[in-house]
Amino acid sequence: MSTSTVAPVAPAPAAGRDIRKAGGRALRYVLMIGLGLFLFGPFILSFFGSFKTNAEITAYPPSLLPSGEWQFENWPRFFGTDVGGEARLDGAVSLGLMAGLFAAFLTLLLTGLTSEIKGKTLPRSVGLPLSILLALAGGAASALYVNVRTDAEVVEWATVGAAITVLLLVAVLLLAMSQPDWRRVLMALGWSLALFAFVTVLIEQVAMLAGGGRVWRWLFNTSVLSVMKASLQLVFCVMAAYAFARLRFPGRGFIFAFMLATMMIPGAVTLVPAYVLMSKLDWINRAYSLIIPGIVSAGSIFLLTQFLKSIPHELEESAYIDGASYFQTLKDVVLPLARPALLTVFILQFQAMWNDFLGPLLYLQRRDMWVMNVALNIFTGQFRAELNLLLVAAMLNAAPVLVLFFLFSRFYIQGVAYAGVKG
Amino acid sequence: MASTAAPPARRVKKRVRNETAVAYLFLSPYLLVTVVFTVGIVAFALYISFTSYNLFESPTWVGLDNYRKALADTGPSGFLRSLVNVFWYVITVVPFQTAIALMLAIVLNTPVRAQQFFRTVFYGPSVTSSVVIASIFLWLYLKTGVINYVFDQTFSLFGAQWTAIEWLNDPRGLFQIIANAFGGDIPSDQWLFRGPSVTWLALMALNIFTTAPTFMIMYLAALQDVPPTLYEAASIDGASKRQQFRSITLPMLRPVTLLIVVLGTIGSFQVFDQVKILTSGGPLNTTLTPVYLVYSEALGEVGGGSVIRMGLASAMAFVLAVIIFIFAFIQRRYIESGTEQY
Repeated sequence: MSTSTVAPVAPAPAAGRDIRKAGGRALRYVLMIGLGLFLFGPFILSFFGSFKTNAEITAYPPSLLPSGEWQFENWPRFFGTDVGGEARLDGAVSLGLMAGLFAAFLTLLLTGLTSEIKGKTLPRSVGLPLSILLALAGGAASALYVNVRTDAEVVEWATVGAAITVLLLVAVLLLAMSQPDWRRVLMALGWSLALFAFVTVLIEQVAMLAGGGRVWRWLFNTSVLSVMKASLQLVFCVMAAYAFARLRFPGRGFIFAFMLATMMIPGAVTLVPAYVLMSKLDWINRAYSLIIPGIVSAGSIFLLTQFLKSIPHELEESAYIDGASYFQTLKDVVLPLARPALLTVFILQFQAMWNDFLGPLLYLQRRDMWVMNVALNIFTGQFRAELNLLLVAAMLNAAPVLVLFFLFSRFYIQGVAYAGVKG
Repeated sequence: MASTAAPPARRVKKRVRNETAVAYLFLSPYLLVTVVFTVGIVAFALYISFTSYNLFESPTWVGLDNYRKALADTGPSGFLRSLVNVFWYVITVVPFQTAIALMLAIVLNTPVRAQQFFRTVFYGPSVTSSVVIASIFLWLYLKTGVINYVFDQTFSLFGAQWTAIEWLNDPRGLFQIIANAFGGDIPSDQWLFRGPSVTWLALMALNIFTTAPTFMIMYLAALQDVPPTLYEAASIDGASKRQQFRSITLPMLRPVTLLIVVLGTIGSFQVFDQVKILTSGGPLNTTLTPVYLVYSEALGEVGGGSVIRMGLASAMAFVLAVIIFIFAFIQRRYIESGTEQY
């Protein structure tokens, strides 16, 4: 752009070069637009294709736009698809439990740090009974809920119980470290248990409402899994990255090198034993199989570590001197600065889960637990006769990721570049 | 926290101990998940690769039997066949995707308006899932589809005739086609010499289409990291654009090229999604890949039967992993030794 402003001042003999330059620029744009059309062409073609009749879509020669009437009803027709799967409770409960657990964990971390409500500190005479009440209510609700579900022959409580215990233990320890005031810890626990019960039942009920082998249910499954996995990764990977980037402890170099080495393990090797493990744990057709191994990933930790290292130390030093704990420093000083990296990790992980195929194909086999990708695979296999509906499904599956990408492409590209080049 | 009254040495020591505890607490979720779902699982995989195991009965030790079985299977749907297939795939896809990624990055790196927009558009195929792209190409690759149409139009421009190809169901090998053109033929039991089939080539093209933009972004980031002063100095010395590209750009891109080639190789050796969705290993096993075999053995989907052979599947996975490591190691050696001369 700057060259074009310089050009008119150039002396007369350079006129020929100017023309060549302008020609070169035009050529560049033609090249860009051509490549852009080529790379984005399949999406454009199939977007228009999704409005064609089935006869027209396979007709030769193919046309870009529907020649006859636009078949807008393809889309609602696809949404009406019902492959007759039965909505079963265990899958829905696994989704709900995972979402509830995450909500509880996050509340525990965020609300537990303060007993202030909207900037006003609660008087001790109110705060203490309220905390106890909340803890009791939340605990009772969770216990009641688990009891009801266990009666309904949902056995996974035992397997998930371990995960929940460990996570809550980690959270409570973190809290206790940053907040020696036990009332606040208690209050946080109360809030989080109450929220746990609420979110669990909410997600599970929505899943049951969305039904069995239907598009709504698959969209719901995919969204819940993607959002959950991305959010969980934020929390746990930031914690690990902070330890790698800022804390000095014996074994740091080894664990970091080990983590990088695990990134080299081909996924094919873990495919078989992971499947065996999941079936032994009875996690096939449950959300745990994808969420629990996915709460951390070496790639995200690596990206966040590199980013945290690039943030200047001074602010944290002053926070320490002011008496803040490590956890408080992480939450109040580091996290606000790391927002771009957090957004990047969220987007990358959301997309990774949304686009994952082999994992859901192995672990989520029942029709009410399919994600969009698995459903699409079935469509390509069984419904080849209705290619226009397949295109609707493909477009629908691509849309969320494409929209997210268009909105946040800067962060997205940063992430890919960061992980690749700065590493 | 730090009480000023305590003697400094003790304070430091306490702080160090505290720091270690906090660090391991922060790392605990990662360590737990990794120990169970990576270390434990890989160790378990190694163990069951020496056993006969079908998920329902406890594993029985068979020693190296699985490895022998996998590597001795020269049949048309055996493990060696899948290795040969994936070998064609890797040596085609990796160079092409790397070269195209570099080309796209160089085009994008020129100063144009709306660079951000173009970058986003170029990256489109990489953002969406392989399942979406495969579904779309299932349609584009039809005998009456757009790809055949484009070939038809291009050929007719030159007055030639294009016979429509059924891209996703054409087992003819590349070398076989060439032999046919010269009047020869390669019998079907000589699959090794038939070369990659037309369908396999179509899947390769599909994969290059989706992965090249990913690596383009890496190249783009690396290109923007090249210090502009290098180019300025070179142009003062009278180096042409072409010379600058060969003696500045390419050497500066060596590290990222290594990364792209290694990542591309690891990814290509494990190709699965497109095969599962579009061909299921067919036609005539010409798109059978190791990971697809591992998947079908583990789920008991081989030959329509329901025999689950976890041990065999695991052994295949390990053989594949070893091959991947060897390739990555050689590439690293080769590209790094080249770096030294600059």
